[in-house]
Amino acid sequence: MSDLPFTNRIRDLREAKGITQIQLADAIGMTRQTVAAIEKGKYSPSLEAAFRIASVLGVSITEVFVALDEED
Amino acid sequence: MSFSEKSAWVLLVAAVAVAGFYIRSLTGAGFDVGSLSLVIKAVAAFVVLVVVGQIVISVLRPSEADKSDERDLRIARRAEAVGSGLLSIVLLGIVALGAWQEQWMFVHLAYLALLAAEIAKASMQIVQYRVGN
Repeated sequence: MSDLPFTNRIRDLREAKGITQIQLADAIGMTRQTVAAIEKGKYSPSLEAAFRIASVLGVSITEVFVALDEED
Repeated sequence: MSFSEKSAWVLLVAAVAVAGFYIRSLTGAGFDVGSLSLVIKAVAAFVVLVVVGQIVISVLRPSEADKSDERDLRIARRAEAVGSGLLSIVLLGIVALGAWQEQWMFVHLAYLALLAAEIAKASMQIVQYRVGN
């Protein structure tokens, strides 16, 4: 279970755009395993990587990463 | 499994195999005898195993061979800290054992190695704080 103070919507946003983990990984300069770890909440990406993820997914960073106390 | 994790497996298997070979060679003879050829064989075997292992995992998935990212780096740094901590404890043990057996050359070398490592670590920290990281 993740101890991170936020969750993320990368998988939903990625699938909505029809992007695979490998494509996202290549676009942000990461490995597929790291993308998978981020999606599962097992790894907290750097701010730089978070911005790159949001940019590739075409949304703002706050739409990708959501603080747990703000989640519906 | 990422390429960095596979590399870690290669290192682990090579280190355990060579440690097993090395300890087995010492069995019976004891720790206070040895030969240069044994050390050379062990070092060469480790290097060969690691290089061959790296080549094998690179050939199996060439597309992943040059890929690593911030997570790999973060994991490697944590693992490095554990490894260097263990090395410091072992060196302190060698200092204590050397002093007990009055093998002063080993005491001096082991202690100076510890100090050299601390100097390198502190210097690197200061440089990175000054340069910005």
